[in-house]
Amino acid sequence: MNVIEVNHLVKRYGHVTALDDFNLSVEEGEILGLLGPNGSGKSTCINTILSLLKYDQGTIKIFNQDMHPNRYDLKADIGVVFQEVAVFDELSVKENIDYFCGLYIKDKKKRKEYIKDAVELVGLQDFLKYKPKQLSGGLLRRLNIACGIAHKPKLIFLDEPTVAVDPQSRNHILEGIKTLNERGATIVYTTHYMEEVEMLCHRIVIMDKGRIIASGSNDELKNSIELSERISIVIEDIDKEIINCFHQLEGVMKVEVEDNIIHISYKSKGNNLSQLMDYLNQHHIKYNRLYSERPTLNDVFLELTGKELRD
Amino acid sequence: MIVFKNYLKITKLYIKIIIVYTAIFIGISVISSLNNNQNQASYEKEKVNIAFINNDHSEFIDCFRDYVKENATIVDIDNNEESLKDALFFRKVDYIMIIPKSFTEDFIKEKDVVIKTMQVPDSYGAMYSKTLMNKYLNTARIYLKADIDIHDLSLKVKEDLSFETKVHMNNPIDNDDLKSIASFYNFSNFALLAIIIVVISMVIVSFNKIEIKKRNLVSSLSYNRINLQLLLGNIIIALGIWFIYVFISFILYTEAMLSIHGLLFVINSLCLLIFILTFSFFLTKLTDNRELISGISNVVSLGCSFLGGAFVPQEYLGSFVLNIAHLTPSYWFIKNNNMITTLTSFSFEDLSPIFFNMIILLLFALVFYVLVFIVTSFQKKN
Repeated sequence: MNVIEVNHLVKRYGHVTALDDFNLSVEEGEILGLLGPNGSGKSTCINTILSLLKYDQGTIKIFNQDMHPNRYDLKADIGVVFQEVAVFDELSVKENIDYFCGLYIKDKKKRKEYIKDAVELVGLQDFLKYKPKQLSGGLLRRLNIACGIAHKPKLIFLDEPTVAVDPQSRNHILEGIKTLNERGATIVYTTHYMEEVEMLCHRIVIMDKGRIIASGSNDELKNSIELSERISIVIEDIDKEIINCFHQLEGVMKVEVEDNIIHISYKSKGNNLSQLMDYLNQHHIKYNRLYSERPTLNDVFLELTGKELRD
Repeated sequence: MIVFKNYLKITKLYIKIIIVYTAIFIGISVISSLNNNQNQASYEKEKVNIAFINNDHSEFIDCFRDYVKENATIVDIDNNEESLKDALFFRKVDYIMIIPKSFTEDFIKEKDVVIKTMQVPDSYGAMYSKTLMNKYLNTARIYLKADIDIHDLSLKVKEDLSFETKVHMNNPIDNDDLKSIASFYNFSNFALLAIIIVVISMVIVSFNKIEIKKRNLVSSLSYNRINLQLLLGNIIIALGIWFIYVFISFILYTEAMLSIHGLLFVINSLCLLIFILTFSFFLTKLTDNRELISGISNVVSLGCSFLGGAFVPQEYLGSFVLNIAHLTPSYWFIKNNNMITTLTSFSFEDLSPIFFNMIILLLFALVFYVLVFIVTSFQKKN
């Protein structure tokens, strides 16, 4: 069953088209990653789906029902964690979670249990009485998440929840998201950190200029591009002859030099690494290190748009 | 009621401000009204300094001198022009009466006689002295027309002028108490404006943070319910602060407050409160900047109070200032308080100017209520 279904959505800000004939479907129980550079339309997409923004054309369905600002019954099953931390500076951690949970859950007893679960999920047990200003950036983000998911929603939107977060908090947050999904929540996760998307998401949608330019699983996306492997060799003295030789190797797409590292991009999926090592040995080319990488989502984006994901 | 509950939780943080402000303002109000009471209660007839230069020495003039002495302080000064002028210049005396020779004889013969006088210009003392003199001589002239001899004349005049009329105020409420209450409520104009604007605005600003607003909008609690709960919070807090002031006015002036005058003071204050509420709400629609709100609150509360006559009575303010003050609700509020003190009966005619001023206060509130709607719809469009 599709939890979200967006068809032919168009959203314009004056002359700028933020979402251009945008189509999206999210299946129940999946973690969908919305990936794209800043300004690609990720946040606009979420805000429009949540009815925070009016749109010019298209349809939006959540839980198979039309979504509009007064559909409070649908909103009851939605949790949102915005990019900007949305908490009251005047209230403690516990009071903040209680407030945002209270917007959905009236029963005090039930709310108490839910707050406890949310606190445990994000690991804020030791900070319940702290005010937001006393928390570090990472802890603040965790509080932001706890406030967004405490009411145990079926559908959760997480808009760049790990921006400017320390590694420890990031791991905590990512583990928490996995747990939420394991408990049955469908998650829409936007970020421009490819590693997080690769690690978390069942399906990835890559956006640019308000359009979907590719979608699929991590492997599907990586397999869809010409590049299949990148081998990097660290060599002390790089001369032009060696570079020309690498160009003539079978399946090589591109050879790039960066300081004393040569990056060789392959399009063919073969035994590229052992063949290259054989070649280096046969031609007595001395190298310090040699390593192979799979293409990243950045490579996918680069190949599709001609620019880096983080540009 | 989670939003309302949260509103109260955030307001708790401002309780210290409310207590400190209230304590200071109530302290000043009480001192000021007690001071006002003391001045009223300790009224004494003041004796002016008069120089009495007597060149006649008749029985009639001696009696006149005694009369002056009873009602003023006679200061001895040398009878030469320089000494007399010096006495006036250095304010040793306010008024000088110079009785010419054979004044009594000419006065009895009803000749055109004049007592030469000198006075400090524009002095109340001089005016009072002149009144004393005219009163005595006019009374004497009336008896003269009845052919009374000079010995009896002095006695009759003395007897006449010794009559005193006792005045009993019909109003059961002490007018001084009403003036003190008016002064208390006039001063509360500043306190209520300053405290309520700051507290309500600061709490609403927390809810108006764009991140919080977005979170509230995506929740399952309707936008109208959230706003209603915020409005309820505003009303409860404003009423609570207002009630403290009303309660204290009842404690300080129990008898006077348990009257129609008291009721009118309370209703008038409630009208001001409604204006403050709508103004505070309007302010939060304009800006989320706490420093700016605090600044506007100070300017509005101090400005309105100064112009409206909370600190300086309206009768002492210049016409230009009063003209500007007409544009502030404080002017109408304070004008009403002062009018309430003068009420002796409560017919519709007596009360209608008071109700009119209350309606003006409510119109101020209505203007800001409409402005809130205009700004809100403009912001929604954006």
